[in-house]
Amino acid sequence: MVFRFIHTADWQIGKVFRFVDDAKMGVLQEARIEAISRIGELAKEHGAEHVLVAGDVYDFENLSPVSRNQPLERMRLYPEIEWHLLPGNHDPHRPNGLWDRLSSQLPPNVRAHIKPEPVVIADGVAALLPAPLTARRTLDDPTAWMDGARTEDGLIRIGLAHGAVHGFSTDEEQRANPIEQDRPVKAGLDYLALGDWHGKLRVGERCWYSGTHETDKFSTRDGGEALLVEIDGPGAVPSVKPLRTGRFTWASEERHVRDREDVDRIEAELRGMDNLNETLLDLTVRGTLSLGNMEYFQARIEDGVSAAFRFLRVDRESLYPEPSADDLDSIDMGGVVRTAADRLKDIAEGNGDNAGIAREALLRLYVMHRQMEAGES
Amino acid sequence: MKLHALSVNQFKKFTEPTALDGLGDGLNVVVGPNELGKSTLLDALRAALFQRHRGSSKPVRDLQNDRNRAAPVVRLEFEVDDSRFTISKRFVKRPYARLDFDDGRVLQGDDAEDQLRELLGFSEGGGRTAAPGADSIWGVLWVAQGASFEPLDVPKTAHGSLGGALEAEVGAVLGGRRGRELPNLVEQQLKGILTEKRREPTGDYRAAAEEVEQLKAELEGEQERRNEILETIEHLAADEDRLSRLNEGGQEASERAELKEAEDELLREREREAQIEGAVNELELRDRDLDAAREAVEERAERRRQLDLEAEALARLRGERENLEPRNQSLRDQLKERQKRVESADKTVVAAEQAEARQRAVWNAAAMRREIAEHEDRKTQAQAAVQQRSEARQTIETILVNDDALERIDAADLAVVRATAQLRAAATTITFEIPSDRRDGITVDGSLLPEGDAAVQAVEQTIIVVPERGRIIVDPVITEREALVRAQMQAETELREALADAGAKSLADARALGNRRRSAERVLEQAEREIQRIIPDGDMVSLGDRIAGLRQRFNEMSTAINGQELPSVAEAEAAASQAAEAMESARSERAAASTSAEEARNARTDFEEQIALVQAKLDADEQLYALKQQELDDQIKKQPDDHLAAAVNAAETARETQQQVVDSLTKGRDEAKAAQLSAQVERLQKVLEQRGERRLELTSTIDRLKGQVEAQDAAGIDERIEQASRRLELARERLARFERDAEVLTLLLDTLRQAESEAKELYLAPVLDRVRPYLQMLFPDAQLEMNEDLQITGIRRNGDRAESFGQLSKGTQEQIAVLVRLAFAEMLVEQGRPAAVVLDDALVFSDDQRMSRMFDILHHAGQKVQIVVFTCREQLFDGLGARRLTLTEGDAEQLASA
Repeated sequence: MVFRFIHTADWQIGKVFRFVDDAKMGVLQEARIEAISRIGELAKEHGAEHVLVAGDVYDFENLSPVSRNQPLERMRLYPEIEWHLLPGNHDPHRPNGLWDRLSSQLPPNVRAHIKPEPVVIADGVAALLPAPLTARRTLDDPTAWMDGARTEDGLIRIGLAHGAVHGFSTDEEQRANPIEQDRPVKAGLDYLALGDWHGKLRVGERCWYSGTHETDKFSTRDGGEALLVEIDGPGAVPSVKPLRTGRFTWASEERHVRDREDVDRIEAELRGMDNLNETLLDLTVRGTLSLGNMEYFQARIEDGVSAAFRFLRVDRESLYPEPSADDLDSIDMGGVVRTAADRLKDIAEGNGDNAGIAREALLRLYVMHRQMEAGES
Repeated sequence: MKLHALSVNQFKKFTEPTALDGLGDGLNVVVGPNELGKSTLLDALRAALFQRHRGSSKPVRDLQNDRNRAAPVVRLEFEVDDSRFTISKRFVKRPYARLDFDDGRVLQGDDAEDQLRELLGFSEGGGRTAAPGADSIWGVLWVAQGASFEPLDVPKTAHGSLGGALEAEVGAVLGGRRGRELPNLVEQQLKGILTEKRREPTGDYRAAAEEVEQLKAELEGEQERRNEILETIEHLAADEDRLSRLNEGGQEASERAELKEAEDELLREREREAQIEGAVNELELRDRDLDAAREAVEERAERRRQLDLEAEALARLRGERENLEPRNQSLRDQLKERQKRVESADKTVVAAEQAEARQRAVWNAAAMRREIAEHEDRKTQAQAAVQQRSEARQTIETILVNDDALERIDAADLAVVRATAQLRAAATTITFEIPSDRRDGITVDGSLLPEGDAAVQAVEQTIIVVPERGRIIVDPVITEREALVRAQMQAETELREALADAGAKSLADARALGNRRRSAERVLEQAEREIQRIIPDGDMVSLGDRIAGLRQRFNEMSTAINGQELPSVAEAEAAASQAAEAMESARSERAAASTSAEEARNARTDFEEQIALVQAKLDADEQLYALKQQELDDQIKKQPDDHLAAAVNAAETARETQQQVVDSLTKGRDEAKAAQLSAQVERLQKVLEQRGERRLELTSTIDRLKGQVEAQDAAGIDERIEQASRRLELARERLARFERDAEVLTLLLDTLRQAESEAKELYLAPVLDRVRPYLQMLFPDAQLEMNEDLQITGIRRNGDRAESFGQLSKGTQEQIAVLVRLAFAEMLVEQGRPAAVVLDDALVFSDDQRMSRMFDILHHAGQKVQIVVFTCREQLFDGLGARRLTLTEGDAEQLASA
């Protein structure tokens, strides 16, 4: 008998976004809740009666009751679908903790899998083998127990876990909660649904990371999706199909500039991107610009095209204002102010601690001068 | 430096090639209406000299004509150090720069501009190598002439005085158009975030810093709460774990069984111990019986020993009593003998006392006899004195010449002498110088001449008879002779009466009588004193009575000593004193004997008391001994000695029997067992009890902690921490921006201020020094006052007191602006640098008188500096006497635009 379900993970409800203002953060947080509804709709659309959430439903353990109940209420709206939740490293199951609180409030169609023991689901078609985490970091493989877990013959064995598959990351943080890459083979799993990695990732034909349902970082690739999984029967190779669940696109770009034409080009490129209103862009600009062009860059990019995006972060740590002879002349041909400008330029071009400050001071001088000029004319 | 020609094309309003030729040394005036574009020509000058041909900044783009936006072209011919150059530039589109030398050399592009800069005296990036503000003066001198008809770019307060205005103007020249406004603007912005003096955060900056602190504290508070919650949860888990281990059972059941077994065995053990204890107690009773029997035997023997000892003691005491008797007797004898000695001493004393009394009576009688003799002497003396007294009294009564009488006689005598002297003074002296052997017979008034030199005072007719010769009659002529003679007679009469009253025959007799009377008075006084001394009461009779009384007493004394012959008083006194000594010696002898007898009596009394004590003890001891002896005899009668020995034997047997009973009971007994069992029971009971308590305690703690966890859950602490740390991060970024802003603005402001003050330091004084003569020319009637820093402190007009200019008129301000530029140019020329001054419609506010003075000044300056004046008021500058120029058509080929 075919078993069809949706594999998702890392909802991270409650996550706080530090770089945006309150209003934008509200929108981003709301999007993570909205994406749950989208998963429900997709499940209905594709005839999947089960949704497996592979850990990190919440971003942390202790949420206010309202924040905690928001995802539960969304799931309650889809009573024909059974939702399976698993404690991850952000929301581990600890005695008297989050999951004990949840247990009394779960809607009937939502099940929390807080014990590492097989559970038969889908009217006896499949056995779910959950690997709940009980701490933020463990050094043991939480799926190890599955090797020896007996289930009735004829059941499709589905593993549900949260952690880092060996060899998929060199990041120290990612080495916690290690999961052996050939666990599906060792434990005779038909499919191992994994969470933790925020981008969609195929580990093997029976082992996938679904990625987060709504991207939350600029560094994440292939986020904002869930997986529709179909298994014809025990031993059959699963068919896995990504479905779009996220609303916002998070992107990182890097550009070099030297002159006014470069600024124009970047503006054109940014405007050429899709769906700017649903896009968050982290733009790193490197190079040097004259003071006039710096002003131009600010006007065109930071104050101009930026408004078209949901959020545009411009990193100009490596963008250096380089006063041209023209810049200096336009401040003044000579005189005290020009002398001061020349001195600032000297400091800016030196290696002293003050170089960065002097660069900005010069730019400020330039802008003030321009403003005074504009005010006079 | 000199300008020769300037031409432009497509330059701002000039859309056709236009030229200004023929500029020469000294003063040049370019005349034309406002629309002519004089200011544009200045821009062209500036562009030619300073603007980079490849520039794309706004100032460069502004050179274009607004409508057709063609490429502006400018061309300038000028002279430096006697060499001529032409600089040509095109801007914005297909820009170029070209510098033509008069020897035909040509430089293009950047090379041309670099060379131009060198010619003008400033190198690339001038500020780095040249003195601060050096290039600035160029720009200003050439093009900032607009200041002369724009409002002065200085703070209002500076207008107040001439000095302020000058300084402001120099500042304006050094600072360019906005040299003053910019630092102020920066300062204004900085003030918004840093305090002015100490540069500490204020306003939004400070608020941001405070917000960071507040949020930090908030976050820490939340984290602390989370730790508390985590701790609570950990405690809960630990307690639950403990409780479940407690409840595991198993061990408790086995402990209960063990307890029961131990309790039973302990009970049995305790019964056996009770039996042993009874038998041992019995044995102890037997022991005591045996001891009592043995003690009875012992006691009887002891009593006997005691009585024997007491009998011995009695015998010793009796011996002691006997031994005391001989000494008693000797003491008694001694006492008797000493009493006898006392009696004989008493007799000696009586005899001595009688002898002493008799000697004393003798001494008294001798003394009395001497006293009587003394009284007799006194009586004789007194009688002599009384006799003397009565004789003196008689003498005094017979002589009348007392002191008063004498005084009267002396006075009368003096009066006679005085009257006689007066008469004699008036008398005629008759001197006889006749040897004595030839005087015989010569008489004067019948009297013979006296012996020796003789002289006679003749008052009346004097008759001198010389025997044998006759007589000489002298009739002295004396005035008032009658009065004098009468006075003399009166005095003589008085003297006679006084003598008669005193009973004296003559003056000498009166004196002798007076002396006798005084002598008698002295004798009387002495006799009175003698009588007073001998018999103070003056009673001679009582003295006689007293002597009679004394004689009576002496007779009695004499009778008492049987009329014994009396020795002298001293001898009697010595005998009496000797008798007294003998009496004292006898008395002390008797006292010593008496004391010795008393001692012997005491010694005897003491010893008799001692004997009585010994005797009393002896009596008592004998009585006691008899009693004890009686008591022992009674006891033996009641219980003879062999009865006591039998009782001892019986007690020994009974004890032996009981000992056997105890031995049989204690055989094989383990004393430690009961204690060990008891400890085991106690321990097990405690273990079970504590476990129960622990269980109760844990259950209640768990309930409490669970309640806490549920209560804390509602806080959503992790969510709050996340949000708080996000807010903190945002606030920190904001604060960092302020910090950066503060640093940037501070650096900017400091750099601007420093450049400003350096430029001022360098140029202010020299320029003001050069302005001074010009000012003197402008205000010829006034005296300028400058202090040692060359600051103008005031102006004195027509010899009046110093005054400030007050609010400077617009005209004056304008004139000062021109003077400052002239001074600058002059200074640069003196330093060997190219300089020229361009004035654009200047001096429009000046009145005629000032205008002509300014013309004089310009003329004066024009001898050193080239001056170009642009004006639309031709007539006004008629009086300047300058070269007059106009605009002409330019060379289209040279000035091709693009």
